This record gives sequence, C-alpha cells and structure tokens, in this order.
Amino acid sequence: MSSSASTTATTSKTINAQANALWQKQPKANAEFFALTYGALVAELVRDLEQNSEIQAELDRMGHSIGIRFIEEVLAKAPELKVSQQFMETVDVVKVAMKLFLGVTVEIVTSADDQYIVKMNENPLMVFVELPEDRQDLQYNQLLAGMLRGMLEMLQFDCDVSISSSTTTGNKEIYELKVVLKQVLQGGAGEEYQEE
Amino acid sequence: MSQFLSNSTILDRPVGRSQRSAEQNVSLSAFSYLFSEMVQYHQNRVDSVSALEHRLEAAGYGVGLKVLELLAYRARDYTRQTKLMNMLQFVSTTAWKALFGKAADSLEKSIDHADEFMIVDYAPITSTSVSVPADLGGLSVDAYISGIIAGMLQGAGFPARVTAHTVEEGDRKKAVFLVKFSASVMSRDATIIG
Repeated sequence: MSSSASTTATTSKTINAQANALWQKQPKANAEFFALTYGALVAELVRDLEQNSEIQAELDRMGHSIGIRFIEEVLAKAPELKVSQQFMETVDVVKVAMKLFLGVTVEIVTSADDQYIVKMNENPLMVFVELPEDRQDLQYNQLLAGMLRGMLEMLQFDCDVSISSSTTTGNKEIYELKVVLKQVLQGGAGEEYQEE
Repeated sequence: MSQFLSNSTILDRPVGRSQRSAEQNVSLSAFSYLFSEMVQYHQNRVDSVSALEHRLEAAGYGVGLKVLELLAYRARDYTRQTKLMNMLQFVSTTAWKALFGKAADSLEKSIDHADEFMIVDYAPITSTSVSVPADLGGLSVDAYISGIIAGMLQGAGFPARVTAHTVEEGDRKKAVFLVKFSASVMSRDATIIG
C-alpha cells in the first residue's frame, strides 16, 4: 500500500481490515436508538407526505445531503484511499464508508463496467421494521441510496443508486443497493483529492 | 408475492434478548447526520422555535413508548415500577445507558416544587453535534430527548411534562431535563407504601 506504483483495487481482505481498524476508532452511538430515530423520521414523512414517491424523494434528498458531507469524513479518516478517475475504484471508498457509517461490512459485486451491487447482510435501520400491507412498495431504506449517490457525486461520479433488494422486496434476506454510473462529472476531483 | 406466504414476519425474528444485539452500534456520525436532517426537516415546516421544539418532542414521544417496551421485555425480571422515584431511577440509569451508553450524570429533586425533578446530562448526544445559529437562540434540540423521557413516563403510567434546558455551570454547560409530574401521579405516589 505504501508503494508508489499505482495498484488496481486492493484486495477485499485488506480493505475490510482497514475499514475494521477505522471502525474501532469511530465514536459510537447505539444502533437501536439510531433505528428508532430513523423510524420516527419516516413516520413523520408518512404523516406529512402520504405518497410513497414523495416520501422516497425526501428520504433520498436527506441521504444525499448526508452523503455529500460524510464523504469528507471518510476521506479525512482514510487518506490512503485512492480517489481516482476510475469508477470501479469507488468500490473501496464505498466499503470503508459503509463500515464507518453503519458499522456494517458490505460485499460489492461488479455486474458490468459501469455498475456494481452493494450487498449488506444486516441493516441497522430495519431492525424493528416491517411495513404494513398498504405500504409494501415504500423503499424504507431510500436514505442509504441517497447517501451513496451523494458520496459518489462528490467523487465526481453521477450515479443512479437504487434499492434492488430488501426484506420488503426481492430477496428477503439481503439488502442490496444497485449503483449505476450515468456520467463522470466535469472538472474531476479537486486537487487535494487526486493522487499524484 | 403475498406477504401472507412469506415464511417469517418481523414477529418471528428475534428482537434480541441478548445483550449483544442491544449493544450494537453505528457511528456517532450516523446519528448526528440523521438527527441534523430531522431537525432541518421540521425547521422548514414551522414558524417558531417553540413549534420546532414541540415537533421534536412529539417525535421523541413515540420513541420513548417503544424504548420502554423494549427495555421491559429485555430486563430479566422487570417488575412494573409503581413508585415514582424508582421509575425516575429507571429512566436515568437503565434507559439512559441503553440509549446513550452511560447513565445520566445526576438525578435531582427540586427544592421548591415537590412535583419537579431534574435529570442532568453534561453531553447529550443530540446537542453535542449540533450548533444552533444565533437567530434561533433558545432552541434546544434536546427537546427530542425530552419527548423520549415523556413517552417513557407516560407509557409507564407516570404522566409528566418534560422540558429541556441548557444551564451554565462554571465554564461548561449541562443539559437539564425538567420533569414535572401531573397531580394525579403525585397524589397516587403519596399513597403507595414502600
């Protein structure tokens, strides 16, 4: 890692180990309290907005707002992460970010040149949640999708992030976020972020 | 795919009797960012500081009711608290530890009013990561925690009005949650032996 020769994505094990080490140092908050707070927020949105599409849009917007700020924290705490022009290298950043945010280790599977799937075996947000019959289509986790979108945008990648699987849709045991690159943004990452 | 055909609903999944699941963590950043978005969302929908605090309290209230149930379910031998002081102890130690990782810094009784008590915390998780701009002076985002306390007390049968105050102590500040019990609670408590 200290070698100056540029490497392609570091091995999964190394990144996970690195993420774990950083996680140990993160100040913590109780996950259940976090889940209940998120639940209170979603309940409020349901009361105020009523339509699933609007609720999701608001959650996505909030997530985006969180993502564009949280990425700074990630890059500051993990300066060795490569921030590059290569979309596929964002995989490492996402792994570290998810660990630092939620304490969750994710697995990322590339499905094409311009897309990958982030898989989570556990999701702290959902620990107490089951959607009622008439809300089965609500993407409760949309905040996470917005967050990833915001983070990637800061890395100069304009992406579509959607929830492709959660316990309320699709495969009921795994949470999956699908990331599809739409375009690389002009300007490139800031000077202070780019690798030599 | 009908919900009725699925193998397990949330009621089948363990809610976690073990200490381990209760102690799982997310990052403090995650909570702070989420809470910040929550405050901003409410802020955009109200006109005054007190209305914003009211909304935060309302949000906390529901959480409080649920936290009480969760903790009661988890405690090995939870006997329903009937005495006021015991309930306050429960809130300031057990509940505080579950939510914030440590017990409240102190629980005090008001000298002037028999129905008022104070729970003190030097660094409440809600305000340590939030800075209130000058034009919103007086806003206490800890109103969310006030709501949680109120919800817990209500759920346990001790209705009370809870407000959050920031008090300066020397060169540091502390959050004081003022709990004012309703008259019915006070008179009932006087009759309970123990």
